[in-house]
Amino acid sequence: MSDPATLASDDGSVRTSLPTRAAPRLNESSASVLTYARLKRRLVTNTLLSGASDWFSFLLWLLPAAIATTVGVAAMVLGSSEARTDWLVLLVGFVIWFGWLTAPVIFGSDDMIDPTRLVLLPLGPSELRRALLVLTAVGPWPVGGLIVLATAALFAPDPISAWVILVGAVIHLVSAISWSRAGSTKLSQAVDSRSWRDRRNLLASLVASMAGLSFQIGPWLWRQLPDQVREVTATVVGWTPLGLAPAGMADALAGHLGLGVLRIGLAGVWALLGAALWSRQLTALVRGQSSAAAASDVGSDARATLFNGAMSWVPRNPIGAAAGREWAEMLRHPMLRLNLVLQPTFALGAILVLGRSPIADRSHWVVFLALLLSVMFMIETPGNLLGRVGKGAWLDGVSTTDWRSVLVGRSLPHMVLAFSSATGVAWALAAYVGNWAAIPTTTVLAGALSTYLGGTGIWRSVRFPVPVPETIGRRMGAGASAASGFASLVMTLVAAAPAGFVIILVIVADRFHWAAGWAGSLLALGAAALVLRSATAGLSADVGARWPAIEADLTV
Amino acid sequence: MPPPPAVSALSVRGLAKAFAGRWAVAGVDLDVPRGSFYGLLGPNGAGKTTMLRMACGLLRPDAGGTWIDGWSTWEHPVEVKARIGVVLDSDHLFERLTGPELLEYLGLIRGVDAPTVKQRSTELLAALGLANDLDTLIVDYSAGMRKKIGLASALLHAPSVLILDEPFEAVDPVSARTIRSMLEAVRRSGSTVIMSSHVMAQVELMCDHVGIIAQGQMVSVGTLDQVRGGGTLEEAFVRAVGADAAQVSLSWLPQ
Repeated sequence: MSDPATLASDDGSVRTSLPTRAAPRLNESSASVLTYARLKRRLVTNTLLSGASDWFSFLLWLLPAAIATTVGVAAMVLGSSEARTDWLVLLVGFVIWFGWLTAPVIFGSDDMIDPTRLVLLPLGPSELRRALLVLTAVGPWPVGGLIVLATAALFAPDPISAWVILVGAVIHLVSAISWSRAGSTKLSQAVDSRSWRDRRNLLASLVASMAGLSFQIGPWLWRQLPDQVREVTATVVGWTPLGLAPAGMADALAGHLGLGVLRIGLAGVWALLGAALWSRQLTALVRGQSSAAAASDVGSDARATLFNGAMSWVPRNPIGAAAGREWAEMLRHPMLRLNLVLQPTFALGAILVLGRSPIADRSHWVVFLALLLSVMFMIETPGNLLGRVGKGAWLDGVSTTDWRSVLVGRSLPHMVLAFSSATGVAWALAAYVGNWAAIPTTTVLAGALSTYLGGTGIWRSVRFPVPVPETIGRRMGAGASAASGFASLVMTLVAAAPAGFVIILVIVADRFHWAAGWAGSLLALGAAALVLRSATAGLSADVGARWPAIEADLTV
Repeated sequence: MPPPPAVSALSVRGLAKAFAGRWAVAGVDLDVPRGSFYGLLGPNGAGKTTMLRMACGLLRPDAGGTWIDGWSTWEHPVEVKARIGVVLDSDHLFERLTGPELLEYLGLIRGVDAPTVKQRSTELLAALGLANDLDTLIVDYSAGMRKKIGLASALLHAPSVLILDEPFEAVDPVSARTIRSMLEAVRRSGSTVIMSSHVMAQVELMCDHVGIIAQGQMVSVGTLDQVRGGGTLEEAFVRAVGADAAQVSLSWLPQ
């Protein structure tokens, strides 16, 4: 092997050489566990709240794990009274394993997880493993998980079973950590890519929704299942890698010590496999043999023109360009894309609940409420067009004074979506209740509502822009998003109130005579057009005059 | 305030802006001749970007005014924005658009007809070496690619005044050469190019007029030869900003 300090020319002759002064090298075992523990504390306090005191940040860091641990212990203690501690242990074990495995995927990789952040330091594989293990294992989550699992030992029939349960808890946690880190090391380069972040945002929202839903209806659903199905499910999960240790602990609780030891032993083998895999990946990474190339970030959803698909019909002028841009961003920005799925889903869910309520009785109410709900959910986003302008704010500022075109164009896709969603839902419900005569009225009314809420959305966008961070998940980003989302929702409700009043009037007219309903909906459409027109009159001058202040607010 | 000379592409009179009680730009007067290639030099924090942001109407000055081709930036924003092309900060682009989409959007917003936008976009993307990344979102662009798409956006509507803040930052030498020849072509077409930069060699190579700003004030203005005064531009710059050019030594480094 040649001396790296020597430079050779192509023909092999020595061309020049650098001074051979040895670079200072850290002793492989110089950094202690305490050093990495301190590093973790510093990373945690710096990440949470810069400017706040370390102790406050530290407590904030402990809080979620402390709450989860308390809930877990309470569930174990209270749930054991139902004499199905075995299922409870299995469930808790599953949640812990699943949580460890999915957390890096959902919350992203950081200095405490990602080996590529440490790989430039002069650390060998074993030292790197030690560093990452300390950064991972020192903290409230592993300790909390261990406490929750170990609680099961309180219900052991004898001391030997209690010890088996404790060993099972440790092995389960080690297994979760080793497989979690093997996964995050494998994904360490990919998860830093933009496309992965996009997917992660979606995934995080979906997992959070699923977790919330499971918390609410999970126990009920479990009780609805026949006993046989529950037994089979528990048996199958108990022989999977993620359920081996908890099922072994449950066996020990039930007095089946031999079976319990067997399962916990198998779980230990599984944990060792995870650790070996992780170790191998770290070694490959340190030696530069990692094949985990960064995922290709070439956006498969990219298009060569703004006017593809749903926006092919818009005119090729400033309004059309703004509409095309808004549509492209709606399809590509992870949170906006999520809105496209969640808003109609929630609207449909609410409507289905209403549809099954006593007020349904085949009246017009269901159809018109469907309209209002659907439009409200679809129109929330364009009420903050300037706040959600993104990083390109100044490009608009230096390119145009025609703010009317920009804002009307950007509202257009939202209005079209709202109209389509509302009419789709209303037609479906009209068919469901057999009220076919309501279809023309609801269609016109959907147009009126979309136009009205589009107009008020533009008005609100100009007067109450709430900056929305480009990327969620960063420090303060989530808080700002939540604040702006709440403000926008409140203003949407205020704006929707007059629309609700008009809808009621049209319902009354429609029940009196269908022609009156038609006339009422046409009048509503005319009124909505007036609202849109007055909301956009003088818009360009208004926004232009205030643009420097708006742009400064948005880009600071 | 005297009216600006009609011949100037950019006129600045008594321009001032303070942030948090500190003057970023403190009463600047400047005339950039039409058709010139103007280099704006200054150390970090001197006020270059703040001045350029006020010149293109992104930042309202606390005092004074700016004129583009004789049009007041704040009284006639429509006329001003139609005349300028700006590359200020390549971090601020519409991240979820592709390069062609960004150009299409900005072209149409500026009132250029669709076929012209298409033709110019194709030419610009090819000239700047972005033709192989037509489907790549801007969020996935490298720093150099972002600079280039910013430049393409600024050139699309054939502006009469092109304002560039550090156009060669993070750009590789081959791309820098392409950009340089493109800017030369812009200047030959009769447009004015105003460019801030830290790279003296680029400024010396390209600019015919130079202004040096330090602590929010113009400290040296004139043709390149006038500002250089017989020496190099770097010497003139160091002299003008009053920087301490004493050799720095670090005691802990091996001698």
